[in-house]
Amino acid sequence: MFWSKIWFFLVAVVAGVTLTLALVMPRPAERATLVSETNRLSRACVITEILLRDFAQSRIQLAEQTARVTGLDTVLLESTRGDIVSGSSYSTAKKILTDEVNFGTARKGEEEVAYRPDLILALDGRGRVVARSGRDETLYGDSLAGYFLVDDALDGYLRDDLWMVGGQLYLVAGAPVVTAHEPEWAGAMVIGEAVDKEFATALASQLHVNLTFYAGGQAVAVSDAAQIHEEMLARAQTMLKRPRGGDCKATEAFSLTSGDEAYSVLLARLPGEAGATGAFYSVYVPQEKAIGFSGTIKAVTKNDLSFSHFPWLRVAVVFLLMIGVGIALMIFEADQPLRRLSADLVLLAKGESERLAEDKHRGKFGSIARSVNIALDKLHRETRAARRDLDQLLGPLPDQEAAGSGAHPTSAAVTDLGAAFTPPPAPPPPSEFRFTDGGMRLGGGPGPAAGMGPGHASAGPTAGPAPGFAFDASGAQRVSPTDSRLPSKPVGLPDSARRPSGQSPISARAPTPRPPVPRTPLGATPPPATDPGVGGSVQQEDFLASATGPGRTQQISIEDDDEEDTVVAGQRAAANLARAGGAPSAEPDDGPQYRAIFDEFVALKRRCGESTDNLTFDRFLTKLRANRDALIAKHRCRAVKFQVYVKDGKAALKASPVR
Amino acid sequence: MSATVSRAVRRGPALAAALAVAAVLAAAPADAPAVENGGIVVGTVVLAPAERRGPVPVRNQGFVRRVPNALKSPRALDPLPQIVVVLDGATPPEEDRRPPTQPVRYSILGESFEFPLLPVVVGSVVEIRNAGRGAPRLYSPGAADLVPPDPIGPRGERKTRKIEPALQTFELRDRESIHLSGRIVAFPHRYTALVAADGKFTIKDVAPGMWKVRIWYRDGWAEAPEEVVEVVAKKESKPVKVTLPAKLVTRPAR
Repeated sequence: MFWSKIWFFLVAVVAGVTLTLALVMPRPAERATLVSETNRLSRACVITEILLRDFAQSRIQLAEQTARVTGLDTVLLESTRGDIVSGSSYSTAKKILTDEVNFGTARKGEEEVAYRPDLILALDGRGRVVARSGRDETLYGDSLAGYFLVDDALDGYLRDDLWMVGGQLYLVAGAPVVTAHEPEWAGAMVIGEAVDKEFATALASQLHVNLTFYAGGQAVAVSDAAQIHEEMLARAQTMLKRPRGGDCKATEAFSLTSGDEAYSVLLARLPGEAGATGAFYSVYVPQEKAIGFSGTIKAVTKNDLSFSHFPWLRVAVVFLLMIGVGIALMIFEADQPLRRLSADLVLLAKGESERLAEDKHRGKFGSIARSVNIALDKLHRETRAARRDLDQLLGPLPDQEAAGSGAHPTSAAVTDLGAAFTPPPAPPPPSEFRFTDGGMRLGGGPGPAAGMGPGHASAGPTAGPAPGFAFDASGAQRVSPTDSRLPSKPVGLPDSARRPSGQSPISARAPTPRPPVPRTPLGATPPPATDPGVGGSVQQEDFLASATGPGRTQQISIEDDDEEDTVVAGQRAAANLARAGGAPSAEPDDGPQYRAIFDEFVALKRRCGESTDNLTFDRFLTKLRANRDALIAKHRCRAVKFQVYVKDGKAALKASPVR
Repeated sequence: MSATVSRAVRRGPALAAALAVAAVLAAAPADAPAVENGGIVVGTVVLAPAERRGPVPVRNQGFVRRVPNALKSPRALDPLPQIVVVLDGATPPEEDRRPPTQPVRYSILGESFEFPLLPVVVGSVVEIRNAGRGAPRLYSPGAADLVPPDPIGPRGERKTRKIEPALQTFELRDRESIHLSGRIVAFPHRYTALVAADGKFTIKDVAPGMWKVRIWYRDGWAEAPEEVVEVVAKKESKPVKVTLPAKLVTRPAR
């Protein structure tokens, strides 16, 4: 899952970066828009200056043409020579300006209309007004000498200037009037164009911006109604302190707000006399409102998402690549290992494997496999422990191989309880078994079992008799009192199948259940008649105490399956000990058989010098039945064989399933 | 300023002479005692040839540069309207060193002062009269208290404080326009004269003696050759001819 996590992290990073870009993108776009607006303003400002320069040049030419109008030089020269400007000079000059001068046409909308300047001044050589047209056109005789443009024109120069007259800004141009016949200074002509709303609007419409002219500390011509003049005049103070020249490129655009509208503004100073007193113009455009991310999304049009404008193919490739890599990593790191683990678990469940193959699984799946194996190991350990408990209680099971051999009594012993008293053919004892007496076979040995009839002890055990251990010919088992070890022959239920063919049919039939004759060691005190109802609890304690003797189970070698089964059987036996359940319904008359085992067990205990006071047959029987039932249920065997033997000088019982 | 001088020149010799006389009269104390033994100094200020003086300086510019007229060459720089001829080198009598009791009038004619440079006796008061149509708000860049700051309406008058110290030029300017400008300069006595458009000047009632003729141009003494004139009582002196260099250079008065 490592690479899947890495991939998920990368995808998350890409998604985060993409989201961040999407959220941040409008700001750079807005800044770009602002920069674009600034550049646009700068261009508009420069173009405005260029247009104003062109207009000035045109006005100068117009003033020069007007100065050459026939008759005007004479009138002005006469006025110059007089002390005052006469009325006749005014009338003559006025008539010439009105009738003789053609100022051409100008485009007004779609039409060419006759053009007439807003201000026409005819000055004599002293700078006095001989005639004027436009503003105060009835006045004459006043001196305009002193204006730089007038003085320069009277000195023989063509030039332009900006005047502030009566609160109105004028773009003016002057030209000298020279007499036609002899070159003599006669006066000057001044042509002026008022900078008003019409002028500003016409100019702004060409530039697709807003334009405002300021002079005398106020807005004198505006192209729109934005009320930003106070702020504009305040911001202009900083600009006016700088050296002149290149304002359109030297000054920086700034923002002004009017109501809910924001404008990008660029200021530039005007030249001339008006410029010297603080006249300037502003070029401004409304700012694009910041629309943010959601606004940007809303502004997306269908055309923006077309294939010609949006890289759908690349986006799809990247998307599919991300999906494909993610799925591949999931399959490689999750699905396939999980499938392998599942298959291993199925094998484990079927019993086709004992453990999960940890090496086949990587990562967490390997951890799961190891955990399962650890759990299995723990279960096995608990099984062994439980089996040891059962062994301590009942004695070790016989060897599985011996129990499963063909000569081993199994179901026949269960079905024919009377055979318990017939010496069955001796099964191969567990390797750990030792028989002190070859004729002493209880429930499985070839020799006569204890308590059985005479002649049953003829078959000798595979192992030689223990020293000091005797068996009488009458069928009574004799144990040497000097021998501390009991015969190790297991006491099992009789099984006809296990009987050798030459054995006595009487012993094999054993129709009458009777208490088995305990094998009494020679010289030993015979076991007292036990009363099942007396001293049950004490006997049980004693029985358990003997069953928990050390070193009894270690001599038994049982396979895993048997161990597990024994554990279960042991657990159930322990439970049955508490409830003292009865015998299985299939074998209600197994009491005599267990009586024989009991008697043998009691006798063996006595021989071993153990106390049997608290040992009663009823509780012994209950315990054996419970253990038998548990083993049968667990191992699905047909019978259970119990053996009495001595371990470490104490009597013990051993249970073995018979299949 | 030079344009104003040129304008004065353009008004003709008669007007120039009248201006010179008026200037002298204005500079003279009204209640000055009659100089019975005073003489008259006459002379001429000669300018360098026009081609050496150069063009009229550019004082401002519109959207395009000025260009000379194609029909006739433009006029050259004329410094005469801004020149004051001053007699120096002798001690005038006490009465000729007193300022006049009445203010000296300095008129605004339209968009300019009647003289670009007004000489007065130190301690004089100047009365500025507006004969034009505007309402200038005068101020003096070097002396804030020289003239009242309120606008002077048409036909209005404002008086300056006493013009002192001597040999210091006080400029008067309009806050509403940059072309309206005049200068007032105080001299220790009344032996000064403006120069007419033709360069002639006259100083009357000069105490007899040997006097040096000096030229004051705008803000200081012009570096020009000094002429000496002998003044004889009740007689006109020999005409003094002061030749100015093509490029006038001034030096501080002190």
